[in-house]
Amino acid sequence: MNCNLARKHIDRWHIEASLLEHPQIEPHNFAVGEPLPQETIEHIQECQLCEQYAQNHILNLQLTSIAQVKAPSGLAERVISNAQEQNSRQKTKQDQIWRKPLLKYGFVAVFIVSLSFVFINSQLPKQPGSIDYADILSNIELQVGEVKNTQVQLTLQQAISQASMRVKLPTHIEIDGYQDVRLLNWQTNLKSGKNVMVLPLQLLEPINGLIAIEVEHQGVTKSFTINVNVVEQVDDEDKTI
Amino acid sequence: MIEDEFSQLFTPHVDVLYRMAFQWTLDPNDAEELVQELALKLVNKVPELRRLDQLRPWLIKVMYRIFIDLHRRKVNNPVVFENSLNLDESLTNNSVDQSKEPETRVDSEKLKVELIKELKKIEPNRATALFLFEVEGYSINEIAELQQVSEGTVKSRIFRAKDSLKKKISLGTFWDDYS
Repeated sequence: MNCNLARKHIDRWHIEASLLEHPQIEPHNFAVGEPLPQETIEHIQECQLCEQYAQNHILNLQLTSIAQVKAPSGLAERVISNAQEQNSRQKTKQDQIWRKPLLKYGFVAVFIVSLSFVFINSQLPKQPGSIDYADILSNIELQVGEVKNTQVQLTLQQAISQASMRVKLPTHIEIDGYQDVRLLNWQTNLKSGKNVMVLPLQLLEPINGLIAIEVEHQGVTKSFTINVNVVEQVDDEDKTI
Repeated sequence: MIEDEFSQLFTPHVDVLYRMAFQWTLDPNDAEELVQELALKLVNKVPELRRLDQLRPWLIKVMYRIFIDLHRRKVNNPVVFENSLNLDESLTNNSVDQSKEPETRVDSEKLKVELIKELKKIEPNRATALFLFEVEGYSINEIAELQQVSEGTVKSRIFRAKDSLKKKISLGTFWDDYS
């Protein structure tokens, strides 16, 4: 038998197998539809090129078989409704984080600590966004019970669209208005230049702590931490003495 | 309403997107997550989606980028979430011909599971190039555009992926039972 005839047989076998709803590769498959003649099998065993030719056909059938998956029922509805729900949640959080403190307190009435984090988005380090890797850049001082607006400034050389922002809080520090929320996560567009975010922080217990802020874009995360130090309350009576 | 419009634009493509996501991730949960990520990314972009002449190729392109991003994130993440994949279950649910005799089905499933395990070991961009070429009928040029590499690189990726898989498919195993 020559190679041309062997390959014609393999092609024919492949077509027969492909016509099955779920073509599966197994010993019996060579007998599917029009089976491979014994002499062709013997030829393939002896001819390396025809063996590779047959291997390619088998691989193609097998991959096709793996790829024949049906989407779970209701997938489209589920995916779309989740996306819409998450999107509206993120929008709400974003609005609350960036705007609410400004409206509620105003810059004049409260003490603002300004922290400045400068980074260049094109030079974000290729490392996991873990607090362990973060540079500790800033310290703030808080009294127990006091709400202090902390202004976080991110300065970028280039705008970033759809950056993921995360604020992680220890158990004894809260953002005013977000009781019992320890992880805030939202997406936002950051403009080129200064981006200011105001966090109204409240210390619940007289313990120092760390707040982690992460900015993630295209799989690269940059982490910052804010050291929160406790300041003892000074009574008015003490001052007069 | 803009949300309904997103649904109208996105829904017709979900089945195809899921099928391709499954080919890339080889895991039904990851495939669903990938489609979910895509929807989340685009839910606000209805005006942009409306302007596209050919939405499906564009959606596949965006989903591929998300897939690569998610893969990189997983690789770089020191915390590994063990996603216990029940291969038998996923295959039985999705693609195994239930009409076959049980004994034959078991043989076939084993072979498929072996191949999926091997596919999972291959670099994702090689495996995806192979699926796109062999199953989805993409041309080398189209894959090169999707993966943003040269045509030569695509050819090399497909060749290497095939090479790894062929080692697992020994023809000898087929002859024994046939004769």
